[in-house]
Amino acid sequence: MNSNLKLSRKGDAVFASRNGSPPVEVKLLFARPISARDGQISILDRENKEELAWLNSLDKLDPASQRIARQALDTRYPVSRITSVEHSFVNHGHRYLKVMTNRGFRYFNLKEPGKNVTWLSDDKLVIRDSMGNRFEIESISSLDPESRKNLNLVL
Amino acid sequence: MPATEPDIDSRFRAELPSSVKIVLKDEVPVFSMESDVLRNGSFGASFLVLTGSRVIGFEEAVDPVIVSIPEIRNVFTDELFGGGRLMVEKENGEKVSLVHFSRNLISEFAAAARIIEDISEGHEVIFPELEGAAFSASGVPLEERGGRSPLDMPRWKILRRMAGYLAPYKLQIGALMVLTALSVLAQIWTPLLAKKIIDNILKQGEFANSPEPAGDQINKYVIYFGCAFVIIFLTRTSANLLKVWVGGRLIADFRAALHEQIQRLTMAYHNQKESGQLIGRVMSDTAELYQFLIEGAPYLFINLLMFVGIGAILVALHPTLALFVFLPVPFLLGGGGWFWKKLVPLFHKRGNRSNLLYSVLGESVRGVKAVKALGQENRRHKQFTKGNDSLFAVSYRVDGTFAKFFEVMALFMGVGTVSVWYFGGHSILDPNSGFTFGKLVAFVSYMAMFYGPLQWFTAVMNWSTHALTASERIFQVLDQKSEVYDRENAISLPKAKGDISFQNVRFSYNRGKEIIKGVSFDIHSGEMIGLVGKSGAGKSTIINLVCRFYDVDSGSIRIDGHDIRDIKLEDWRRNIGIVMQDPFLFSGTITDNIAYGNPDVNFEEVVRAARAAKAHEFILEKEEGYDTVVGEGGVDLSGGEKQRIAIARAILNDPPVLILDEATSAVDSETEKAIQEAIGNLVKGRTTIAIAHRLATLRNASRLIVIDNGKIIEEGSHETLLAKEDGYFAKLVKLQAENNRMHSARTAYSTDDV
Repeated sequence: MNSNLKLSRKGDAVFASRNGSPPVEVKLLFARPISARDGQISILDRENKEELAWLNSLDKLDPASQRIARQALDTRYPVSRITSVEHSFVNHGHRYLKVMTNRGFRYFNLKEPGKNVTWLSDDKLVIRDSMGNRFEIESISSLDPESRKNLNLVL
Repeated sequence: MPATEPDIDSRFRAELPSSVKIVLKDEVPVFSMESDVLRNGSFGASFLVLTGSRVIGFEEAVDPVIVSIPEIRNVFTDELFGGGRLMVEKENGEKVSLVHFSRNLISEFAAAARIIEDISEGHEVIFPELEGAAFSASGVPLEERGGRSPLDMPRWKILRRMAGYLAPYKLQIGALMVLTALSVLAQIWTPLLAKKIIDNILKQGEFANSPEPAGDQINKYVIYFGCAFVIIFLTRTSANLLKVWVGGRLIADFRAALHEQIQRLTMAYHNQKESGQLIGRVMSDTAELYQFLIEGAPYLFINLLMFVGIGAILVALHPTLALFVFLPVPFLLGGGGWFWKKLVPLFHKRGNRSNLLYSVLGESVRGVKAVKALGQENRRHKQFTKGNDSLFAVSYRVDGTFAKFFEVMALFMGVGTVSVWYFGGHSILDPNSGFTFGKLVAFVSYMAMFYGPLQWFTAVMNWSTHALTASERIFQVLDQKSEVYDRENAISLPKAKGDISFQNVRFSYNRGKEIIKGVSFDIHSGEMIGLVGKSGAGKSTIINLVCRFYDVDSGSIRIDGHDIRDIKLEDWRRNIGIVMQDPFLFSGTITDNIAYGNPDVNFEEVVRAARAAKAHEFILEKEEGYDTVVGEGGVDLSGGEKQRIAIARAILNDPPVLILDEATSAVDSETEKAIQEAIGNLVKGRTTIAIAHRLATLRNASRLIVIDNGKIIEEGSHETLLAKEDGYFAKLVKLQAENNRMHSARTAYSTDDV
């Protein structure tokens, strides 16, 4: 049970204390940040990297701790979800994509799709660009036809 | 005060918006950097500015984060999913993030953290050399940091550079062009000969009254035909041989230049690159260039000559009819381009899917035992079938598009042929046209020669682009900064005494993430020093710096009183012998490997070294003794055997400085004993730096230096350090002893259990 686990903030750091023990600085990490970001959260002591708690969901925490946890996870996992593929082209064997994401516009280079595109299902994928930035497509079939065509050109 | 450096990377000099300048007032930035992520996670421009008194994280429409320099206790980057943030820990323990960034700027902000730390600690600011940028100057995302974008690549520059490599072969290339031109002329001549035979002899036209009999005239033209074919044979054969020679020679030059460059590139470059990538540059890119040079470039040259030559002849024979021949040309060129544009992404797609299928197949074959053991044969086969079907689908599209391409091209050519027969035929029937049957036959012959190559022009142009890209990739490697082997006035040091001194050495692999943080120590000639610490503490980095695989960021390393950078690099490396945990053996005999650094020694010396290294007996027991071939494709040696060969190699080189990097960590106790004896023979009279996981093996060291987090935390003899109850080394020894006890207990239990 983690209901006795309390999270607090000081500046941009998150602290955890259990049963009123002195707070220690922690890091909140998803166990599966690509395939399951709806739970399975580990709270690690930032200093000695030991796991303080494992949460299958944030519901076990009190409302104030939940807010802090959500904020910390949002900061640590700024996921770029592609909403449209505005342009794509292949030049000299290099693949380029200009995309609009939930976080804004991005222009990137996709190297070796076989290695850098992870299909989570037939309709969902994660692209890693040449610098290691990740972009998710929640549902290819939900993209507009032009985006699908542009995507198909490079994948 | 910050040092002013004229060649500071422009990434430290971001153009600041006026709103930031208002916050700064009269303060002059030490540096200013632009980021690409806002603190709320959205993409957008944010700025980090360091002045002499404070550091500011700035975003439009949000309050800036300002921390004064005296408030700073620590500066670090915190890795986030797909990026990071630069954090400052204040003296009151509060941590604030100044700026967020994507993975494109990780190296830049790691460097920024280091500069802020330097200034907050009152050190002189040294702007580190940054890794290459993620985008080209024109804003194109790059495949690798610091690379060059093919979109920014001016072709003429690459061609000019290529021409430089061709210069030594200009005579051969001149001859090649002359031979090709002759062959083209001879090919163009043959339809004209056919026309002459038909119009002048067979048709008994204007030469009917010639005193020369028709039979003799035919013989004459047949001889001309024969000459034309002999010329074509001779010129084409010679040209083919020449182009294969020139192409092959040029590529051999490229391969040699690349290999030489790879040997001289810095270790920092090698660490960033996968070995496969560099091998690809040497073999695949040069092979691609070779294919184009012997197939593509001559194709373009020959067919351009043909195109111009035949075009001129057609106009001369019948200008109007020539226009009908030219009619399909734009369609053939345009159609070729259109199809090719469709095909190129499909080719890439097929390549990707084929690679994936290879990888699945490879795992299925190599991992068959694991698949069977886990009962996953069906799942594995399903995975293969999925990839297989996906490859079939794209292959069908590629080949289907190809098939359509050929037929459409044939249709366009058909338009030209039909037009020529229609208008040509009618012209022959018109007695006033002056158009003859011979001309029509010549037209038809020329059409095949004219149209055929046209459909491939776009493909070959595309191919030329690929070849230029391959050359560009080759040039990128050749243009990389290589190690500075000898500074100006570098001193020669054939035999060092072996005094080594580290003076406030700071070093980072990734320019910003410091690994060695102001380390100072002295090693006297003949001393044996043990480096102790957890993995990642910086021990191997110190060894890398002693070998000068990298240069220090600041401070200095002195050898016999000279700065290591002032000594000729090859001289210094010859003074060092290294025995690593997993020594590398080259393809060759054991004798070759022992004598690798000293190939001129006689066999007796090799045997003497092998004896001292306790390797002689096991070598003799091999079926082929010292002639046993080891390395790639050779006999497998155990870890201990390889190490003893490496020790023999080091003994033979007789270096004044010896480095033992975990030399006994991967062997059993009995082998370790033999290796320890061999090492005992080796270290006598040499300056030795040893790293050993098993701390007991460092008992013979004159002194131990304990490293943690890039700093020296303890120094002294084995006994002195062991006697320090709360000492770091003493704790490590205790921990290791406990682990050993637990391991022994487990072994005993399992033995009993059995």
